[in-house]
Amino acid sequence: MRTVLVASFVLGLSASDAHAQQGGNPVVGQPIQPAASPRSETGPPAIEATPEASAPFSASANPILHVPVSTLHPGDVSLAPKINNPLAKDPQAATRGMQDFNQFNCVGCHAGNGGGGMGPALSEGRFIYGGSPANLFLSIYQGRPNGMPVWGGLLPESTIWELVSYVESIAHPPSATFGRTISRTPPSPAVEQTPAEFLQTVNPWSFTTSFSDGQKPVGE
Amino acid sequence: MRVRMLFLALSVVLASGGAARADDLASLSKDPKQWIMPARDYASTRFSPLDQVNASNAGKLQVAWMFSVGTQRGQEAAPLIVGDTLYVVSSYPNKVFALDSATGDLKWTYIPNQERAAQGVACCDVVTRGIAYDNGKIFLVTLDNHAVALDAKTGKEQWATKTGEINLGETTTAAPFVAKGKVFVGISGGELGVRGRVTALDEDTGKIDYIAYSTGPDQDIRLAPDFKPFYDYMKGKDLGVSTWPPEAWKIGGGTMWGWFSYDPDLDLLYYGTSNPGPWNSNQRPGDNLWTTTLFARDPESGNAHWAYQFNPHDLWDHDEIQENVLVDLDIGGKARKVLLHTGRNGFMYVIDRQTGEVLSADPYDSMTAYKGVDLKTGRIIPNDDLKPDLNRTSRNVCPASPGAKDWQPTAWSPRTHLLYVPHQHLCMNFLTSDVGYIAGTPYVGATVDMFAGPGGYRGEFMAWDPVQRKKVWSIKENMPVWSGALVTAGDVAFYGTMDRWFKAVDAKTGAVLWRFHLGSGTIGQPVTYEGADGQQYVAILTGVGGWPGVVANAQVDPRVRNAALGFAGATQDLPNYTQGGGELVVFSVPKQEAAAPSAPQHNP
Amino acid sequence: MRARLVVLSAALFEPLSSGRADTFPMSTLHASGLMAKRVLPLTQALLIASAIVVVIITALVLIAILRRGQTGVVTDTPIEEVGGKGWISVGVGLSTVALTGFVVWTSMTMAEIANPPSKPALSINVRGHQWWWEFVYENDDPSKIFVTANEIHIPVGQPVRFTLNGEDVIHTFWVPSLGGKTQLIPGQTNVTWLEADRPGVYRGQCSQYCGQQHAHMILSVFADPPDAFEAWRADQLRVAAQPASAEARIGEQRFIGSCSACHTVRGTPANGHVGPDLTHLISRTTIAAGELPNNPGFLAGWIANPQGLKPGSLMPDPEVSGPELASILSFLVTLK
Repeated sequence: MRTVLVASFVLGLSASDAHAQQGGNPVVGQPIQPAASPRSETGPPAIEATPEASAPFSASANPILHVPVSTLHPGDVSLAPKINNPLAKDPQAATRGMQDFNQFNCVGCHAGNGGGGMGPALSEGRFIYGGSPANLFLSIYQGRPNGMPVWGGLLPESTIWELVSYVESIAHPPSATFGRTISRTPPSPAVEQTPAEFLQTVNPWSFTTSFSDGQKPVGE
Repeated sequence: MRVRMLFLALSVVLASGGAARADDLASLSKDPKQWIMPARDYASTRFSPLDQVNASNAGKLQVAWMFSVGTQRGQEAAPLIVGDTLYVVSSYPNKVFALDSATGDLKWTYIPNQERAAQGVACCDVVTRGIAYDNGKIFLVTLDNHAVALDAKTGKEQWATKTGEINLGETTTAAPFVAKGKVFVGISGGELGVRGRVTALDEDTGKIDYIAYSTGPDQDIRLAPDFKPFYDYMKGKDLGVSTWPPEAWKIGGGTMWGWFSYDPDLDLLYYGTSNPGPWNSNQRPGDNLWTTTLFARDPESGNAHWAYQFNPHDLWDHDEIQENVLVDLDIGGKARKVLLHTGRNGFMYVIDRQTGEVLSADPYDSMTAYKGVDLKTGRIIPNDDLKPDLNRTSRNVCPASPGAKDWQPTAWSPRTHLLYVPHQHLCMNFLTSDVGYIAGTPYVGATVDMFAGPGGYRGEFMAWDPVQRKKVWSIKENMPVWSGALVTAGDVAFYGTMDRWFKAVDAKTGAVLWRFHLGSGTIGQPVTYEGADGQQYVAILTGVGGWPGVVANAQVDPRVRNAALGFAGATQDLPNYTQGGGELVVFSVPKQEAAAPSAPQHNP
Repeated sequence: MRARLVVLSAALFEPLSSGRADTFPMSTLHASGLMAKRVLPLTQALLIASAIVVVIITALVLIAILRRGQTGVVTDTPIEEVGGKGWISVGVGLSTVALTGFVVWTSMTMAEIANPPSKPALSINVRGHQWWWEFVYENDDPSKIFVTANEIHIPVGQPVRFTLNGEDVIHTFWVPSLGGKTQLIPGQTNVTWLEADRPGVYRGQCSQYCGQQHAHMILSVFADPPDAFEAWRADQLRVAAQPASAEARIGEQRFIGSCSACHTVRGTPANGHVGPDLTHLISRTTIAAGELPNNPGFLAGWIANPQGLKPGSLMPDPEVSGPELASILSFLVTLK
């Protein structure tokens, strides 16, 4: 059930379309859901909900099931589907995602502007479980075993895609090199962001000042 | 050696009777060669009577042996030395190692099978602050809330009891504590809406004897009719409910992730509780009892005799879980049984440990957050100019959220009558915002940005005279001093710094006698003991981390000041000095160093 | 037409029964509260003065048009001065006197209503959200604080203090028959007060355009006799009881698993702060900020299709099946 909804969203259907489908209007390419299909309370996203699909494990039926977490492909050929954020063209999605990030306590672990703490930083553009929109979606939806909670079910998929938009928006540090150098002299990193107690923005990397070395932030 | 074995055997025999158990640890701690609990003794002095290493030879300290604990995150634990064995526990996954205390030979390893997701609900690095020993058993608490008893000789698991639930945001990081046959276990998660408590387990069976909560009705807090707080604002029925908005006490913090001490004469167990949750104080009008509260309890029944709330309606995350050092002082010409509590709020408290009366409370660091402590009412006086109204940034609040001193324990020398205090020197900007509670996620509601306090330095190691109520000497440090302190009868005090130095200083003058660049920054607790070879050793578990250190040992962005609940702002340059890496390093002043430099090694 | 005029004049000059307030739920001319009554004479006078001005100006314009028609002269040359400057002085003078008078009167009235006549019995913190109202009943005893949404109860005959905050954009709190129109501004706390002098239900509305569903941001003030108010308040403090039926208990679990990130039900682990507190949902008469009556049918419809009923609201379309929705509903109806 859930999985189908995820897939429907990925295929560009709005949440209300998915709802209409529940109401009995079949959607092209989607199996019709039996109204009484119960959700498994604790189990994994219900595979059982797609028994009528002709090829339930094919990428065309459910592309998000085929998004890999690893980048290691035996045979050196990746058959991973290309899945875009359905909100990619919505200019307000990142702003709504920023509100979601605060309201649903993401900020407590990943910190204002995604600097990290209890959870890993999002601001460096490095993601343990992959940085593609679908990877980010799945990491939020499914949770991750070293401490990322499962948000699927508690947050609607549209909200999760908004969060993906926000994370993509804050995850572009101003560095073009392969690696990073850390040193006292010359000072590296050389910049820091304007802190979130002064500025909440979806483009924190557009507001930087010189690195403070633990002293008061510039502009105080 | 033989004498000690006899002595141990005797203790074990005595320990078979319930009432005698307290004597076991109490008398073991009188053996100067051992270090049988993180604070060394029930009074939490962290003072060793050993004096082989002293002010004149501390400069000759050398590495005797080392041992990697195999984890990269912060190491806050104190090693224990019982007999000839040194026990040490790593940060998550909390492996326990038993080593020969003189040679470093590995005897056994215990690896708990923990729930990995526990790492995601640990607020401030996946640390543990130590293990406990009593009666032939080592007691371990795991990050995922299991209390475990191990056979000290073999490492075999005796029992394991679950005492918390990670899906409610609960973890366990405080070292367990044993008194009167009970293992006392805390709970962490003041940042995740955890309901604070202490759980007492039977040391033989692991069965839970009782739970003493920090919030809720009197029955849950274990306030018996003879409960007698010294000050009026703590008097009344069910204040753990009525000083909160409805239901807020159920997710109100008051956790216990710090230190216990025990006075066998008064038969009272002392510990403090954490901040109330959420940090956004606008969401919890009221005094929020019994958070930031010092309890004096009967360890047998768990009933509280008195309590003292340091920070009614805490505004700044000023937990008060710090160690309480039990000493007898001559104050105003009268001998008083007191406890010394180096408050996170920046005040040095001297409290009558029989009644809970505050005898003095003096600021020991820069202070803008409070105007003082009213000794008549017992209440701290907040600075109203900084009041953290919703959505308004309070600027330059000192001390910052981790306080002037956090968990890092002090040491007390009965020789110098000074308290040796490792602490930080930080201020902050603090912005509150509304926050909803979602079980197992942070319940904070504050955007914090910390930075160095006045003068630009971030830490200090100082000696405090609690009778004169003043600082005697001080060493300013670039980084927060997040390690514990140790002081010995050789009048040498030890501490480590986050920028990798391990230092020995003259306990009387504060002169640095010796320093050594460790492999990683230090946030652990130095201990000292005598090995079977008659040599005095000083041991420190190094490995940077903790709340200020995740910026150097985990994926935290130093360019984002609000990272790590705001601590990244204050330690953003730490990766310029160190990376994580847990290692036990043991030092000694080799005897041949003094006698014959070419003599064969005692430890081939 | 005549009938309407009669009603209008009645509305202007007659004291009103509470029954009339139901006919005109949003009328400023039906003052039922102390503040509104103090403002009412000023409102009436301004209305009359405005009407007189409109009549005079209309008459003068008509006269001018008619006179021009009579002369029938069309000329390109400027019209010669024929006097009448005096009329300008008279007009400006009259306006100045009248406007000055109203400024003074308005200032006096504002000063008069700035503070309630006696110490407020109650303080309520109002938080404006897109698009609903959150009300926090404050209390010196923290254990007596509670939160509700869209409907407030106040005791009759006692002034109630309101502190107002905007949570997202600027909203305006206004209950016309009681008075107190005040803005809710993010980052600022405004203060007003209200007092109802007779029991009844008074409708209010956000009166500052605040986005797509501005029209569906309605509040109701229930002015209760003091005893009834105290009973209501005591009831609101109650936490949700464990549901009796097995289905409702399953529904509670589903509610916690699907809805608790946003909604609070005190007595359960659901403690979200994004949407309204639902601890006493069923005690309210409407849902979706006054848009729909509160009964199981509408409630089910609202949960099933919020974006159809109130497009743009933060309430998302559900990702639950029909039976799951039914079990959640069976839990919600226990929240009395």
